[in-house]
Amino acid sequence: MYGSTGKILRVDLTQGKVWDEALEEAALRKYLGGTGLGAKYLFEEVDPKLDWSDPKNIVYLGSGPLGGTRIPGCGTISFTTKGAMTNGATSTQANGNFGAFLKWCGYDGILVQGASPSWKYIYVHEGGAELRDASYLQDKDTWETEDAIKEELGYKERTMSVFSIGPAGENLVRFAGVFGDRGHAAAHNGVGAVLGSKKLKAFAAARATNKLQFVDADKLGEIAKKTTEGAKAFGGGGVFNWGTSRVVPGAEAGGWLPVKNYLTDIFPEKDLFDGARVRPLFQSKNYPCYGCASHHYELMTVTEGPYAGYFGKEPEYEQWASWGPQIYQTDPGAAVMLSNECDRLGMDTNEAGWVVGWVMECYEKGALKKKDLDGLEMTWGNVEATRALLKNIAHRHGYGNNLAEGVKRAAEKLGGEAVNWAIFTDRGNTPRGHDHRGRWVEMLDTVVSNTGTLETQMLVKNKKLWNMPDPMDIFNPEHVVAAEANSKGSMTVSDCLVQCWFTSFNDTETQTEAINAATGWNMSLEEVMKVGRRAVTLMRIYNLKAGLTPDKEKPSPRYCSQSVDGPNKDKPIAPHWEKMMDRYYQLMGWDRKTGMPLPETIKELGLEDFTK
Amino acid sequence: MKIDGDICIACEACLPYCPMEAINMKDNVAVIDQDECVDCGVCLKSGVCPVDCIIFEPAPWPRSLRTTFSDPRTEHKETKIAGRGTEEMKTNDVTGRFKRGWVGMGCEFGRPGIGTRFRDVDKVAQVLAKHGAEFEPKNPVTFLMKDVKTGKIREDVLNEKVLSAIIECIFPIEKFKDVITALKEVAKEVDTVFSVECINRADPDGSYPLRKLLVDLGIPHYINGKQNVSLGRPLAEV
Repeated sequence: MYGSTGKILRVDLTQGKVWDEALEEAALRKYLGGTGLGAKYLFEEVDPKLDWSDPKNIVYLGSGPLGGTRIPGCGTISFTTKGAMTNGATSTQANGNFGAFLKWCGYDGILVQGASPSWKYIYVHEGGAELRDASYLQDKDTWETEDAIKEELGYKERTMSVFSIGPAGENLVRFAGVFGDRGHAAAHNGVGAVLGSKKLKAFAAARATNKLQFVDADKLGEIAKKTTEGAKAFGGGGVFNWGTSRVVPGAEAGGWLPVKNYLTDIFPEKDLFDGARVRPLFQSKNYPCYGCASHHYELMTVTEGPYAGYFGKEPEYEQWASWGPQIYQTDPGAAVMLSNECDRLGMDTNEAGWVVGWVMECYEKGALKKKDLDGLEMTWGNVEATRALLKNIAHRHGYGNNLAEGVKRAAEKLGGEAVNWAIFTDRGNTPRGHDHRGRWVEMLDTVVSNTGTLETQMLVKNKKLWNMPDPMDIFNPEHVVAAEANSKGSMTVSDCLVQCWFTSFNDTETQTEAINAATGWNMSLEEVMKVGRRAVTLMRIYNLKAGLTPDKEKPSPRYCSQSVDGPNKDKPIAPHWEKMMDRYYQLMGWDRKTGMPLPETIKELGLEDFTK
Repeated sequence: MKIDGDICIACEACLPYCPMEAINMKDNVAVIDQDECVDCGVCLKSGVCPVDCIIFEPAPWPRSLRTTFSDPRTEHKETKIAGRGTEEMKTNDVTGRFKRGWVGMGCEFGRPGIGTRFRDVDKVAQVLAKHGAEFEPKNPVTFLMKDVKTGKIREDVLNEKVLSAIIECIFPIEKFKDVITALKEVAKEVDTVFSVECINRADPDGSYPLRKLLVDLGIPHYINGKQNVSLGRPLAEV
């Protein structure tokens, strides 16, 4: 088979067994890989009524048809499972090298089922795979785990990719993620907690000889070049040269930087967090993913302030947002430290930011006191208290045990007015590190998400193809709904291909060319677009069977509140919400009462078998 | 130069930096064609590799020549000269190496993008020797000659490729026409570009003896003082 290894690795942790399972070409063409294939496995193998922590839950770690090619962004992996935050379908991606190495080792993906009686990790190498003892890795953080496994097996930096859970995953923190290749994160919807419930500490893949077969390798080489050129050109090369490191000042100007748990949209110190200032100051060095020439991912050493000397990865925009403005502290060095501590403990930085910001607001307003918080003084911007609180959460120590449930459940448990201060959706997931009151498309997307995170992106490269409003008014309810509904699946195509958005920018046309050059399937654009929509719809049907009802598709009061200042203070979304949802359901071809995709929608996507 | 294939991430960033176009993608990593690479180190010195997987380990003889000829920062162990040749005609006002009645000649082989092998240098050197040229003893190419009388270069280095190399020689002006004619002939067998530069001391009246010979040969000429070190105050008796 071209473009695929023709098999996945099956791992049964209950029995301690691994074996190869053949892939069918027809299924690959229908789902491509990654999220699509994962959704199919989830649907076929996990009863939607089961709890996420049931040993019968699965975790699918997948690459896609382009994994192992040198098209930039194809070292990425996608995780699919029944997640701990929503107790529903999950799709979350991490960049790095694992996807490429895994395919060179001879597997398109790893499907984990069961639960192990003792801690294990999976080691994949040239010619096979094995389950190994991970008891010595217990309580190690994600960077330490990476180091320890490489040392145990004798691999040097970059000749092996390791993705692991930290203490948070081991302790079933609901928003625990999987972290690897020095801080790349697949952290949405609690995939780390699911792995913790299975006592699976890590995945390790060695760099092996590439024996993959592609229909037109030369063409793939051309597409690799074209993709790099496209990435260089996109947005004037901002992302190619700077990653997301320069987003904070612009986000503040646009009123979509989360500041002080949405209590304000003004952050005067924004420029301190600008990558153009921070990168040279903190001796940043490029640490790219396989196949990628962009300067998105860097490692750095803090050079000033109380955390001078701290070494770690450069925070992504969302990490700057969480550990700067959201907790209202202004030292970028402290933000580097907290970002990396959170990664090392193995928690989603977004949710952790919403949790800590909420705790600080509760502390300020007296809803939580020092004695409730194990002696921590959670004043705004208190870095050391935040660091200690993160540790408590990861180890479920003291009040950290409540917070480990995520901000929604913690707020509901505390009760009273404090529920109205928390940022979440009624489904249980939370936004990325934005103030979505200034990004309506993403608020809608987060609320209706069937993956636990974003399913679409306003910045679609082929606007016409996806029928995006152009020009787009981002505060026009009609435009917002159309953008969200029409581009549904564009992001998911990338997640089925398992290609990093920051290289592809969801350029569906180039992706289609690449699929065909890899596989020889000669897929049409329309067929590829449908793959994305199919995966999303399949996850939706699954979630409905798992108990999702349309009334849960709602932002929390704070999440959709009116901005109190900044550029968007006169732009409340709440008055438009119900109407927007009506229109959204209509455009998606979903029943407004049940939330179920209509029979014709299901038929169009070839999902009839899944609704019986 | 080599690339550690266990580390390379195939980002292709190094490809445009190679003056020999010797870096290509193969099986998902960048690979340096060892036969074409001249060990100039431009790829490494550019600092462009994001994962630092470009490696240079000094090679044993005769490959070591590639670096000494191609990387202007290295010194020839044997001649203590950095780069491709001596100061040749640049400082003649001070050194007086080229006197009246003599022609100093340099033949420059290769350029970034093409390079040269000593096999080609050898062909030209032999022709020059046959027509009575004497080679500059401090020049690194001269050092590679088995016999300076014949201009024959050692067998073991003939296949070595370098960014560029220069023969430096001197001969009586009477032989100039024969030398040029022979060079034009041998050029047909040379598998790279090479250029020829000459120095000839002007007569006291300011006339330039080579001018007539060049006109006779039908060679357009451009008289350039090569005093790019310095004009200098005349010191030598020429």
